[in-house]
Amino acid sequence: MTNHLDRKVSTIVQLALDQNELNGIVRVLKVIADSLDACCCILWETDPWVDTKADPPTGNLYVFARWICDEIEMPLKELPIDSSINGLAIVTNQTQKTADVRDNKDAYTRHNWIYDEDMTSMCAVPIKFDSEIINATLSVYRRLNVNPFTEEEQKFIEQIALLIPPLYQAIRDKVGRKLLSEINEIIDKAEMQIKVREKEETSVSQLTQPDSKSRSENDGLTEVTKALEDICLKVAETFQCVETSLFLENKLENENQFKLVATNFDDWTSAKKTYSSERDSNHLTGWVLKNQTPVNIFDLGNFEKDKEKLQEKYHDINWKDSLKIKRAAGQILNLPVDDNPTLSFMAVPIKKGNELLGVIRCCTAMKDPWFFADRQLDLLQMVAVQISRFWSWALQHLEEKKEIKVWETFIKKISELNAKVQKRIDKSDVDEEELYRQILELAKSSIKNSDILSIRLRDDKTNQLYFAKIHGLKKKLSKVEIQTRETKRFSLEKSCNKNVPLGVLVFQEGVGRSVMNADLENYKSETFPETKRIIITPIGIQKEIQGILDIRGTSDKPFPPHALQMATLLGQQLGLYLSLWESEKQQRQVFEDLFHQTKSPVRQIFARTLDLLQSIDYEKWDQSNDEIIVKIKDKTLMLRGVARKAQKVIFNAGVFKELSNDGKLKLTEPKIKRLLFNETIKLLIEAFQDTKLLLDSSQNIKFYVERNGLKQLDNIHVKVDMDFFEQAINCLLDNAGKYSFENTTVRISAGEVKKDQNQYFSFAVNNEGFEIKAENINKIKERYYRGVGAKDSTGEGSGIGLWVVDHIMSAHEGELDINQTDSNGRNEIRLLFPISGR
Amino acid sequence: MYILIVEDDEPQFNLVKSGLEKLRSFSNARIERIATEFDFQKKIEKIAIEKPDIIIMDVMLKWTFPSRVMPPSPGDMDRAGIRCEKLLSENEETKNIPVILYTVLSKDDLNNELPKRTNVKYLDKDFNANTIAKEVFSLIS
Repeated sequence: MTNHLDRKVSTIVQLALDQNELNGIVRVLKVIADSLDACCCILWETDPWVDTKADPPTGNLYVFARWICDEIEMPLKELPIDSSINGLAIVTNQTQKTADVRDNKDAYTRHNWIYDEDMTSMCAVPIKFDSEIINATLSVYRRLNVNPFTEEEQKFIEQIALLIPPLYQAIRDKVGRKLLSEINEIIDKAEMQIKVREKEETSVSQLTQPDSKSRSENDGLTEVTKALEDICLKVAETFQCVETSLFLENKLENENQFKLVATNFDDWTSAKKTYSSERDSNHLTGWVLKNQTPVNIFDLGNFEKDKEKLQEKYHDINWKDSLKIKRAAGQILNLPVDDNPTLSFMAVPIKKGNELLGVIRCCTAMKDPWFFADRQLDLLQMVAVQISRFWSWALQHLEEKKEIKVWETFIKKISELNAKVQKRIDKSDVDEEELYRQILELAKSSIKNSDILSIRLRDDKTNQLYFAKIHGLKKKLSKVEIQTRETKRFSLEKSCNKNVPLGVLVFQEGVGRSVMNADLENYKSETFPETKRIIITPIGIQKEIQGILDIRGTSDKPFPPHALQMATLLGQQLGLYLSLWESEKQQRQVFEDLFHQTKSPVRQIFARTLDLLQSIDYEKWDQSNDEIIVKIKDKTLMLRGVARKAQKVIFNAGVFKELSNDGKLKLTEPKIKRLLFNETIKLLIEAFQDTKLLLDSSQNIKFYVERNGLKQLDNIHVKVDMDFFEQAINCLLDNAGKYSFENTTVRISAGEVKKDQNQYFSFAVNNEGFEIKAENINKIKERYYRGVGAKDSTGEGSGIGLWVVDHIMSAHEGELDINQTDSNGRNEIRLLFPISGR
Repeated sequence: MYILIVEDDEPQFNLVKSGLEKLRSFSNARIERIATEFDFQKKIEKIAIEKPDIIIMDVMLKWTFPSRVMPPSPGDMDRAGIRCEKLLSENEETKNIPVILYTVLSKDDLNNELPKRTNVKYLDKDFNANTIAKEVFSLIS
């Protein structure tokens, strides 16, 4: 061989190794052609059905790759093996060289296109192209004005022909590695984007309220879909095909529905975007899904002709000729109207172990080769493995996110329910039916595929479980049937009967025994025969079981994985609510009992003390007994003071009870009287005398009543409930005395006043003691509020005094008016009573 | 004879005092009162010098009387008497003074907080002056 041809070999090899795409083989063919001053260099390959042993041989050769110089047109894509020089080379396994193809008219003359293009000489070398048998030729063509191929040139072509298969293999491997690497990058990038986005979402939701509105609307598949689309683009680019599409199953949405998730193809004329492996096996894609077998079909246009052979290879495969697809492909490929494009097709199932995830398909090669080789099918299977991993990860990730969201929603709803129940318990306003309804609704919304839900509680008297609430009974049941079910009861008596209802079993076995139907064998429900699956969990905490929560599914759809845990939590939560409610009821009952028990004795002490004081006629006593008389009087007054204080405490307890139950006080009609000066002054003086008696004498607190304003009472009508009025006065005086600084005076005054355009009669208690700040004025009237220093300086009190007085004044349609400490350090608290007449 | 009564309720103090004075042994006794925990803390040194023969200690004591500047309180007024007794037992001069913890709180209420020294006695406050007087007598004699 001449030196320049030698050099060409290394050039060709280097060029081939530099190629990054399958089409790069064309550049190699160009260099071969240029080296030989040829106008055309073609790689011919046999189709799958070629039979070289037959007589005559059957099958076709097709163009695998070609380089043709610009002046030449080559419309031909295939040649019959039995009447072409290339076919002869394959059948004989010998190089076929001819100076003029027209010389071989009789035998292999299907080269009209060569005549038309003024190509005369050609050299076709048979090669094994990715096969154990000869199945291809490297053919080089020269034009009329160039000499025929020499022996040397033939040897060169033969040498190159031997190199073509490994060189193409190298290109293919490189392209394959590049494709897989790019797909990996796409996948890694998508996974990273998802993680970053989720991290950002978590940070945002921690800064703001944990509200679903603050999270993005992204359902988690956006990045995945985009990545899969990019993969389709890369695959289509690599395999040089019109369409690459991915159909995948998302079990979280629908089972056995393989939807179009990604494609590079914009124009869907067939519009089938979903396949079922059961129902669509008469479609090629559906067949692949059902049989989970890769498919490579040479040309769908020859389907009917090749059907027998195809069905031998792919059992029962079928395809309906659709003119639409041919036309669409023709348009895209810019072919003449009557030129049917080659409809090559390959599809590979995407699997994870034995589990089918979907299918990837490539359709309609756009250029040489117009067909997909099995070697490309191998590469597509590797792509399918990568997609399988990615999609599995995405679905698992989505499922985890969904699970987290389900739990977050569940916890949020539990928190909201806790707050509502707490509020109701505080107000002693629990609606039992409503509580059960909310628990069952929460269970239904959290546990998917739960259809019939019920709460059964224990009836202590009859030792039975009864239905407190059933949710989800079908409307198509008759009223009688519904009633029969709702009123059914279950005995909790231990018995030898083996067929103990499941609910009774769970109840009797106590805490922790939540059951899902996986624990059962052949479970049949008499009460709910439509039950397909069941969860039963105790209502209660630790050993205090109050009933059972019963959740049933009536369809074939399973409960979600979190069902048992959620049901168990709900059962405990309901148990807690019921326990708290019961405790609150008991506490109220105890309080009421104590109140009733102490009320009478205290009242009696006070009444008898008053009676004692009134019945002693001091003037009748002997003068020599003055000291004793004084002592008796002092001690009786002290007794009255103590009794008054006890009465005040008991009265407050009674008011507290009433306000806790009803929320407001009602005036007692028989006790409503008009205030008159004499009675009122007497009451005030006795009240402050008693208050002073109980104060520490070391503090030297004085009391003073201004009478002038009080005299107005005889000219106006102020009506009060006398018990409430006395209680309010006692409370203000008691506070004033307790919180006054030493050596100060508590002043009581009264009179008509105007406030906010209204006329009132005011009783004012004025003292010098702990500061009342403006910002605390409303707080002071709140139940349980104790001012700064209050408990330290008195050692007693519950913080409900002014709260009671505030309600007393509201009951009178008056007002408890508290003013902040003035510039002289004095506080004033007023009872404002409405004036009902003059 | 010097008897110190730590009691924030004046009528209660008067009751105890009159009960003591009825007994011949205490008819001429010097009976004094400290009304608050804060006051007790201020007078601990004086107690160390004057050394009462016995201290009758209420347990639930107010911290101090209302004033324009309230000293910060140690917290739980229900254990004021226990804190006061601790001051006595930590002082060499006062640790041997017998103390009666006179309170409405039960022994169970006080639990592990009852002082360990042998000259401290717990007495349930039954508001009967004779009871306390007899107890004082038996401790001193």
